[in-house]
Amino acid sequence: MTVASAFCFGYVKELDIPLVIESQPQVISAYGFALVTVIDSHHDVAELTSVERLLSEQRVGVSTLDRHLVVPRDLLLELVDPDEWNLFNGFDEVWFFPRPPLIPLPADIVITSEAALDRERAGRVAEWMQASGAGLALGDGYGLNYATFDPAIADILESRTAR
Amino acid sequence: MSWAEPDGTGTITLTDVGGPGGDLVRYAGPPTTSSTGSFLYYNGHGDTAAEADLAGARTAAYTYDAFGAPRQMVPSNTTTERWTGRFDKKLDSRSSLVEMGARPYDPVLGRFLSVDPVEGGSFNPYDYAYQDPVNVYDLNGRYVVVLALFGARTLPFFAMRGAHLVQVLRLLAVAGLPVVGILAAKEAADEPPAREERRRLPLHGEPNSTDVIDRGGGRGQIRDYGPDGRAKKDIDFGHDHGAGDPHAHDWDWTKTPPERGQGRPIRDHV
Repeated sequence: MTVASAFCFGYVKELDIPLVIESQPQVISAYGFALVTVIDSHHDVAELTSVERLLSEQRVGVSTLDRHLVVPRDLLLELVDPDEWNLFNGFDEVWFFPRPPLIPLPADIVITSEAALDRERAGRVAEWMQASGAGLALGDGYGLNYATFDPAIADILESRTAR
Repeated sequence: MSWAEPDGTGTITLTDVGGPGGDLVRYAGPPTTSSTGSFLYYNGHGDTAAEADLAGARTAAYTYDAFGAPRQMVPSNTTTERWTGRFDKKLDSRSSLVEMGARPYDPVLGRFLSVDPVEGGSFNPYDYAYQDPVNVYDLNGRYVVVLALFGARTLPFFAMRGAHLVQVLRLLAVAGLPVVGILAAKEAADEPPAREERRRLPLHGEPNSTDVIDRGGGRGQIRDYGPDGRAKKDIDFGHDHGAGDPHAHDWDWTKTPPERGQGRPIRDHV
């Protein structure tokens, strides 16, 4: 884990987004909304048929922001469930917000875990998270990249490394 | 896998020292310089074929019938690894049975002694590996393991659920890759792997190799590695966001960090 003032980022090989949502709900409990920016390596998630189907149901709190998907946190369990929406299967990216996000994610910011976040990429991530109000970012694929302004969350995620 | 066998008093009477392709050495007693040791050699099926002393002189040779019955005498009242010994399957010479995970296997009969825990998983509840013990394995009594050769690449042993494997085979056939030695796979009764146990395919592998991961429930991934050992292409199973199921992803290593491309249908070109 790397800590720069209150901003923490790191990589946990043993984790992925579904595992965090299902097994470590305390990590996301402070955030009411999630911005899904990558699904299955696809950055224009709003045009995916699975997302179009979700949008067509017109659920409360579900919307799009630019080319990405906004969902209330409580819906995430359904989205990760293989027998429900089965949306996250690796190479996905989710940003968490206490309020509905308003600022679109720039195209050059990616945290799916083809590679661990380095300081340069993390710096851009931190800037955008600060500007947009995001409190936590998760990107998976081969392990999990995370970035957060809450060191307690970083501790929880990093505790998986030692197991 | 290394293991030691104690007698009733706790004294170690046998020690196997594991290696990457089965046990390397077996010691009579603990692995000390004074212990008598034997190098172990396996045939292509994974059966213990010969032993040699530490000077390299052959001290024993073993052969078996197709179902694993030993053709040479086995010391009485002992546990030893002979047929499928590379996989640490142990023959109990008192009962003449092989411990195959969930079920005891009788190599003389060529049958398991208890019913298949996978309902409908076999032609009959006691058969071993579809009665094809040369090409197919059933090392835990619950599902068969097949050896697949894809052209010049060897995809090591892998176990898959029936429908999933059929899907993979169809895909490989579409790709024009010769598939040798695969017969079938039966449905495993166990639950899909818990998320905690999920293995993830690394970004680098053996050059020109293929790796497979089965996440259960028809979900999984095949990853091709290029001549430089970098991930080259993924074929994903079990989810469909519009590119079909299965679908392919191509890796772009000109980007830093490398990027996995979005899913594309595999019908046009694998």
